[in-house]
Amino acid sequence: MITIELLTQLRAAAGQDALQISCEGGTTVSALLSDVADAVPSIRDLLLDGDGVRHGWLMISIDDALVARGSDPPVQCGCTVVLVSPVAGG
Amino acid sequence: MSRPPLTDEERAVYEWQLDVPGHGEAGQSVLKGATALVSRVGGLGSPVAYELAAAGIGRIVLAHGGTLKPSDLNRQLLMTHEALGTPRVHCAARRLQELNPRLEVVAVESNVTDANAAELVAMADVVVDAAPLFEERLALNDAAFDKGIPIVECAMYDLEATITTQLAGRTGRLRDLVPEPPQPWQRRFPVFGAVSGAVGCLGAMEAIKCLAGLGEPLFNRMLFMDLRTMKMREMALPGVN
Repeated sequence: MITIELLTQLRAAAGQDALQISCEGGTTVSALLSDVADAVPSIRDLLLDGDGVRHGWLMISIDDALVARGSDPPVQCGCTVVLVSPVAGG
Repeated sequence: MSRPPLTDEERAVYEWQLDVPGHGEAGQSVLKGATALVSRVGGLGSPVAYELAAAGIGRIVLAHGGTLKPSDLNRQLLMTHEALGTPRVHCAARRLQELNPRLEVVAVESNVTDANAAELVAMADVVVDAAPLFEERLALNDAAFDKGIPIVECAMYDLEATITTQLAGRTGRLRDLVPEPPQPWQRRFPVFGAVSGAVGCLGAMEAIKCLAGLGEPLFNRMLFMDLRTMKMREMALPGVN
């Protein structure tokens, strides 16, 4: 399993702070985001644009290391992936 | 940065922090000669500016447009009920100087924009970004990188907060994380003043560390705080491209 943790607006929109996605031999960030969007449709628009591509401002970490924007690294089973919608001050 | 000598009055006011290892009179002199730019003095910027004023920074530039509204008073700790309807930045300046009459405050009755960011950053030795709109944040961060000035990026939502410190040549910039204003972000969002206060105090400490050379700023790291569970995590950020 891959543990997905949702922070900030994603947590609020999902109504939950974590979920688990099954994996068989690992996956990639882009495939994982599609799986998360299918599992929690209320956050699909916060993850992916209308073409199903990850938003450029979505922050993603794998085991607490931020994934570089535009890259699509593998995600191994057992990892914790954190998804963050950026926030500001006020 | 100049390093003006401390007066006897200043030695008396700052004696508790003069005892902090690695700080002392030399570090306090650096703070006295330094200028911090705080972008907005709302829920987040108020505690930033207040802690910097308390710590003895010599000059603070406050950039914040608009007038005080009732809905500001749950978190904007430099404001007062009597100041409702008046410019926020002048209320903040007055409160800071009540705490520290030696402090020079430059009150700019405008938010940061592409047009004024470079001029404002040029006045400062450190910048703290506490603004609610990503257009402001990106303009400020770009200007700080152009000038080679460290910038502390503070943010919050609900009971969560994030903070990182960035510097040209040492770290990536805000635009590497958030290339454009996120479509779902809205000017008004849920938050308690205690959340903005918590991250604001950390932001002030980061600014002090950058100026005085204390400790390890949050370079290439972002701290996430969840005050709902009191869990904190640190995320490693990509370094310089």
